[in-house]
Amino acid sequence: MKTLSDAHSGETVKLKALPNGTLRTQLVRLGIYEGMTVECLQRLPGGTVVIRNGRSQVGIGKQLADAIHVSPVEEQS
Amino acid sequence: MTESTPKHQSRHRHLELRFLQQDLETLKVALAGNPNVGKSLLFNAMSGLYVDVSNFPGTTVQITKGAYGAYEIYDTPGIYSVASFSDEERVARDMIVEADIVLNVVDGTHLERDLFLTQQLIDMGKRLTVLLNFTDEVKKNNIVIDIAKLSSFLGVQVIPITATKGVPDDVLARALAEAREGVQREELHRSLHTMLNRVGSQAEALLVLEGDQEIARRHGIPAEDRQEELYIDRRNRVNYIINQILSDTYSHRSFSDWLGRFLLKPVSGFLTLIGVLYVLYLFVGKAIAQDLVGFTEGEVGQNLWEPWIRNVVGTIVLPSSWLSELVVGEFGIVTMTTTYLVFLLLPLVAAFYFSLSLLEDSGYLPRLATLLDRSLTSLGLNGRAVIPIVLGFGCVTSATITTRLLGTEREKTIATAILQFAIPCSAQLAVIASLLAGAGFGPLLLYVAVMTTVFISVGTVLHRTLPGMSAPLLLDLPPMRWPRFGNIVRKTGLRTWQFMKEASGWFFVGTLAVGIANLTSALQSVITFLTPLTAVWLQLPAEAATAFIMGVVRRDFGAAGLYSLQLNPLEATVALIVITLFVPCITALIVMIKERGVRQGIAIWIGTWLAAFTVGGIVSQIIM
Repeated sequence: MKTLSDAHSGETVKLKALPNGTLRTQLVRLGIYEGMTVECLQRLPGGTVVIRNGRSQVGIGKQLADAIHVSPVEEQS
Repeated sequence: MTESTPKHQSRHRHLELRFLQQDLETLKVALAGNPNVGKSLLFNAMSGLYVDVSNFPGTTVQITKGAYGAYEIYDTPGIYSVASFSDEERVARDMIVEADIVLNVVDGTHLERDLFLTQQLIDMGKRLTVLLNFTDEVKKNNIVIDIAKLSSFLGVQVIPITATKGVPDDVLARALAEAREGVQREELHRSLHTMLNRVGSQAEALLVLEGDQEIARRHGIPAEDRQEELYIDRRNRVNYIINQILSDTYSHRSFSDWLGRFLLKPVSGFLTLIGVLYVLYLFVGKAIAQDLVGFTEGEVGQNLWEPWIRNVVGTIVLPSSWLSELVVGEFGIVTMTTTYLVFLLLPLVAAFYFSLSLLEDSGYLPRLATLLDRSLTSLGLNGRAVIPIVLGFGCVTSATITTRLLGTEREKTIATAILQFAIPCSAQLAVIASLLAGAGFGPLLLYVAVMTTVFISVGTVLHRTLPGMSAPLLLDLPPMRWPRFGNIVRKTGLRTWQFMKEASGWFFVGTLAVGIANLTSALQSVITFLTPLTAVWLQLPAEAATAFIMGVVRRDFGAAGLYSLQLNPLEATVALIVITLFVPCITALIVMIKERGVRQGIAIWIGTWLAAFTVGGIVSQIIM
């Protein structure tokens, strides 16, 4: 299963599954939830990922990115 | 279920009678919003100079209270939702629950994120008005917001403002006068109504539904477990609203956007970091610590102030008496404390907080946190720990408190230990910079290398030995912005004042203790007792022990004590290594024990002693 960690810079992905618990709630209020599409803006060496959701950007640690399941989306731009 | 929301709501206007009674009293207004939306700027504009800063009961979270006409205004900590994940959130939550009116400040360029809180405030049944900030940036980014439509979706007034350019009084008056309850989802509204019989307010009813244990306990009822469901519902509603009101031709090519990305690329990110550190060094370490402090401490302090006060005191007290020695002698509480506090510490601390506020307000700090996330993971921390660590360079004590924003107990322990061991505070840095400045590049490099090694060792050892897991990074990155000068100055002033207020008392106590010890020759005995350690093992002048003893009171104070010894570059390096690693000051120790518990606090404390003398001795034996 592809995770957010596997997404490359500039790739748009659809979020399939988020981890449960507190992290999930915190993701939801930052506007990140299952079924939405986000752009993986940057992948830093070491696995920290920056995603863009609309105009907001969120930094996500490798451990969390590993736990977010995604599927690729056709890019239209 | 068929009843329409407005009709249903109109039936219980009784709720609003509450407010009629409150007209007689002062109305409490809470400014609420996400972090970095310009709340404080608006607060400052509204409250003028008469601001009261205090700690929220039982926490170290600061609340700022001011008056605006007949209203009492409160600035709350920035939050993404009303919840209780952290102290800040609990404080904001309680203030919002308490408030009669909420002014919800939202960032017009970040509506999809910010409206989540807005909708939650509406779900809490608060009377509110939305202040749509950053309208200038909204225009610049070609974002078009249908404000009238947004207002009708939410059921509350939405007023566009640009806080940085000032907000006219009539706009604020309208915002306050027209604050009202917004539109809730029918089903939620019913649930709240049912819950309302068991708790005091709709706000608390919602929080109980969302599983807030604390609020539930206050009313002696079990918390429900609908947080995720309600959050996702709310998120969907916000997205629906956004789609209806927002049209933009936003391009991702703005300068702010480009800069944000530039700072996160490994090469440019690290080069910028080095550049930032170098500029900081030039500003704090050179211009302030050497040039300005050289003038204030040497010229003003030692040549003007001390002789003058000695003269004045000399007319009252016999110059050679013990009292004179205690007041204006070598360790005099009037001479030494004033010189160190006002002429040495004050300019440094102000410079540090000024720089920190700049980094904070520009949006650089969260990007630095993301950039360093991976490196900190190997120390059992995540990028967020950058904030307490950077703060530690200002004051280890206040930085120890901010370790609270880390996710797990494990991370808090690791970050606290690193702070207490390896991070020199701004006052120490000043002395370090000036002692090492003349010594050349080698000693500086040696000092930095030893500190970095200890930093990494402490983190690695604790990461390997402590049980459990650390939380991963999850951090909202605000857009890069030009900081507002007025806000920076204000922040700097407030923080410096707090630091000085807290430091001064201990400085007096410390000087008095050392002064008395000096008079009763107790100091001499301690120096003699420690001589084998300082003279043989560390190969320093025996008097260095005085500085170490003073270091127990305040670390910066200890470092300042080294100032008066004529040390050669290698001796200075060893002494500075010992002093930096060494026990945190008394206030830091007290705060650490409060935060981490007695056992852990004392363990870290003893650890710093051992590390200081072991590492210092080893370095000394190698280089001298």
